[in-house]
Parts: sequence; structure tokens; C-alpha cells
Amino acid sequence: MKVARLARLHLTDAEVDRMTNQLAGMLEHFRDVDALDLSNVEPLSQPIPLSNVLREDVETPPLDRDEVLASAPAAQDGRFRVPPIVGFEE
Amino acid sequence: MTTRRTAVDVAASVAAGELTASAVLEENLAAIDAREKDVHAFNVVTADRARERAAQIDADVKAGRNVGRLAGVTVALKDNMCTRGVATTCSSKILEGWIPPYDGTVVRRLADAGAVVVGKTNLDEFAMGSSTENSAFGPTRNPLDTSRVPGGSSGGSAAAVAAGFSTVSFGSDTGGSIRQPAALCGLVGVKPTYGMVSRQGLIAFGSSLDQIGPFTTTVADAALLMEIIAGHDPLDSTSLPQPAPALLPVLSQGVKGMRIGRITDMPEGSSPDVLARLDAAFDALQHAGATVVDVQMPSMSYGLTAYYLVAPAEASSNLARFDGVRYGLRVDAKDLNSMYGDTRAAGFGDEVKRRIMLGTYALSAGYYDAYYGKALKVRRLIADDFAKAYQRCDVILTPTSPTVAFKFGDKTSNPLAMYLCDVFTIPTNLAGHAAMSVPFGTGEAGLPVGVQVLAPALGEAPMFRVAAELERAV
Repeated sequence: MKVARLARLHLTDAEVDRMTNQLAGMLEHFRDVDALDLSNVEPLSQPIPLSNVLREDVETPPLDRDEVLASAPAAQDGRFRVPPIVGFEE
Repeated sequence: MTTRRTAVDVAASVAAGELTASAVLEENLAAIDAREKDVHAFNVVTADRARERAAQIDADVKAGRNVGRLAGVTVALKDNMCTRGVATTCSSKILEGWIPPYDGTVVRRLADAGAVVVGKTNLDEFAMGSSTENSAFGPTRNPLDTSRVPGGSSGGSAAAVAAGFSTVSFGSDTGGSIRQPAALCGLVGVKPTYGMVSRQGLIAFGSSLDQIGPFTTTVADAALLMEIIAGHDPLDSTSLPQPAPALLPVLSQGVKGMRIGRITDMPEGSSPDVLARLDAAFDALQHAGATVVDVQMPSMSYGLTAYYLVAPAEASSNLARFDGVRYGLRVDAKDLNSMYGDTRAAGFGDEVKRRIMLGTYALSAGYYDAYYGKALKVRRLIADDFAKAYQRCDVILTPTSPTVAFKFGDKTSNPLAMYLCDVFTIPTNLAGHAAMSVPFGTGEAGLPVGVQVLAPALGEAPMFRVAAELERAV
């Protein structure tokens, strides 16, 4: 299913079937808003508009690297370790 | 338990040397020993750390050092609030083994004020749910009737206070996750104005909706805690520039001359026992000198649709960070994409997967305008309806939850039925306003009913005035 791939979720066939049904039911319910005239309504994405602020560039201590890496799934040489990203062979 | 200590009393007595922080803590730990196996409020009880902390506060009092406004007050924290050195799981398997390298701002402010953290509380996984049945570690039970849910998603925090495991607790509220469990457990629960309380160190669910707030047994305790946790934080870019409001002074002001809104076109489906208590609340406020005025909120029932598109959309984006690279679980696989997909499939529970799928769909090319875009427009209508209503009244009263605490399994098979629990609480989050639930007597089966006081953005002072009057009237 395309949505599962976009969401990076490996679902089983049974999960896909169940969720497709449940999501279809919800999307059907969400059609209730079709009763509203929204043609001249501005979307609202943040409830309280704030403008971005800049601060002085003051040095502050960063997180402790060893402490951060200590609860990573895999780490090596002071970095997160991940599986091959490019150029791997089957 | 027989006596309930309040935060106001504990802090005053501990600071005055009349009571020790250690004694308060031991009462809580004894209650936990006796009942936690039935209630399951906690993911972890940090008894050793708490004992050290309490001993330190007692030593400070003895030495005459300043101990802060929450000296010896025991708190339980929802397990989506980062605590340095103590596992923070969001009740999800995907964060297994992760220990935050820092304390969130609220956690730090509480510690600075002398609070003692007793433990981290259970929640619906990633705060997605209204019953705490969605936790990867099993449900929390309502201490008032363990065959019933405590509400959710902050069900563990509500249960902890209701069972006497801590003096107060904290949760997060994205669509009602503080107010609804407060109502179902007979507590005061506050959802502050968006931006009033820093979210630094709160693991994000819906970033335009989330707020941290307290659970307490009294309105005064909630006011005290708000004074400590609210106020600008440079570490949260959505934090408002305002300082914390002074709320304790307004509690004795009464409601004479205030205008209380009654929604005439309120969404249907509330049970009669809940509606009877709401009527009684209007009567009590009128008796105390307030005027009840009729207002309309025609968009209110559409809030559910807007919320269940906006919140999952934001969640699908926020939860992208749980990919097996930096924290928690990893399922090893031959390449990076397989590792992502396998890790997320193994780590997330059903409801979280459902919402990620829903949100991803609502944001995907070709469907964005039809779902997410439309939801944002409905959100505007709700904010506009509130703005119109607040021209005529200072606060609005509604039920917090359409029913008292329900039985386990009642709504788990039908996600939509569960979502309907939030019909009265969701509009506040969509508008970024303040709201709180105040216990106001009992309904079916002798279980507590909560009345919700809604206020506009930064309307905490009038909201607390009304809440205090309701508390006096019970």
C-alpha cells in the first residue's frame, strides 16, 4: 500500500486490510464538513501567530555526546552507526 | 487513603519545618506499595531518587536555605516528559532503552521549586487515545473503580493523584488528554493557553495543539503549579513572551458580574447525569452573582473532523524521527529503508500506526486540499465562532466528557466511538485557548462528573475565578 510505504511502515497484509477498512470508515465520517461553505475561509495552521525571533549568538554547553550515544541503538567512533545507505549488494 | 494533602499545605508545612518532605514521600510510597499492582499508574517509580531528593530538601530546611514554593510536593510526570537519567518511553516499545540526556523545562522548573518526582506515568502510546488502553505496557485502571478506564491519554497521571500516589501530577493535552482523565478521576485538570507553558522536553505529538498542564485535587493547587511552570522559555519557539500569570490572588474574587456562556447548539450525545451536573453548575454560578448568557458554536461538532485530520497529520511528521537511528529500538536489516520500515512496524502499536497512516494520507499529494487543507479551514471557523461567543461572555461551560468513566473494552473496537469522547475538549486545542475541568459532583454509579470551563487565549484568570467558585459550590 502506497501510504504505508510513504510512512515507512512495513505492515502485514492483515494489518493493511484492517487499516484500510478503518481509515475508509473515518474518511467517510470526515465528509461531514462537506456541509460547510469553506470557499472564503482562510486556513488556520497555528492558533496564536508569533513571528520568528533571533537571539544573540551566545555559546551554551551542548548535550553530552557520550550520554546521547549511550542510548542510541548503535554507535561507533563517536557517531550513530547505521546500515548501508548506498552501494550495498544483496 | 484517608487524608489528602494538597500542594499548598505540603509546601507551607515543609518550608516551615512542621512536616518533612521524607514523611510526605513515604505516605505516597506506602500507597503505591498497597495499590499500584491494581492501578498501574506508573511505567517506573523512582523511589530511590525521590528519597534522596526529599532528604536533601529536609536538610535544606534544617539549614535555613531557601527551598522553593513546592518544597516537598510529590509529583508524577507523564512518561512523555523528558527526565535526564530516567527512561522516557511514551508507553511505546519504539523508545525501549532510551534515556533522555536532558530535563525538559517544566521538569527543571518543578525541581528548582523543590518538588519531588515520584515516577513516570503510563499513557496511551504517544498520547494517542482517550482511555490509556493503548499503552504498550498495559492499561491503567481508574482507582475509583478498577473495572473502568481512567480516561486518557494522561490516564496514569490522573490515576496517580486519585490513588494518593503523589500530591499532584502533570500530563499533556493535545485534544483533551488532561481534562478528560481529570473528569473521569474526579480531579482538577488544566489545559493552558497554547504557548503559556514551555514544551521543551515534551515529546511532540501535535505541535500546533500540545500543552503541558497539571492534575490536582484542588483549584488552588492548580493555580500554584501554573504560576511555577508557566512563563516564557527561550528554548521553545512557540512560547509566548508573557510572564506566568498570578492566579492564586484571583481565587477569592468570586464571580459577581461575570458572564457565563451556555452553548445552545451544543453537540448531542451527553448522558443525562452529566447534563444535570452542568445545569447545576450554571445555577451555582448564577446564585453567586454571575449572569448566564446564551451563545452559539455552530462549528463545534465539526471540530472532531478537523482535529482527527490535523493531529494525525502533525503526528505523522513528528513521529518520523523514530526511525531506529538515534534512540530506542532498532530492528536490524540489510539496508537503511528496510531498517526504518521494520523498526517502525515492530515499535509502534496499532493506534499509532493508524494515525500515522491517516496523517500521511491526509498530507499526501492529491489529497492535501481535500483533507488537511479543509481541516485548517474548519479550524478557522471554530476560532471565529469562539471569538464571536467571547464578545458576549467571559467564559463558557460545557461537560468535559459526555459520560462518566466507562468500562474497559467499551470503545476499543471502534476508533470513532473513542474519538467522540473528545468532542467538548478538542475545540479548545484547535483554537489555542485555555480550558480546565473541575469536579462537580457525581453521576451514574456514583462516579465523578467534570464541568469544563472554557476561556479565550490568556483567559486563565477569569477561568480560575469560575473554577474556584464551582469548587466552593460543590
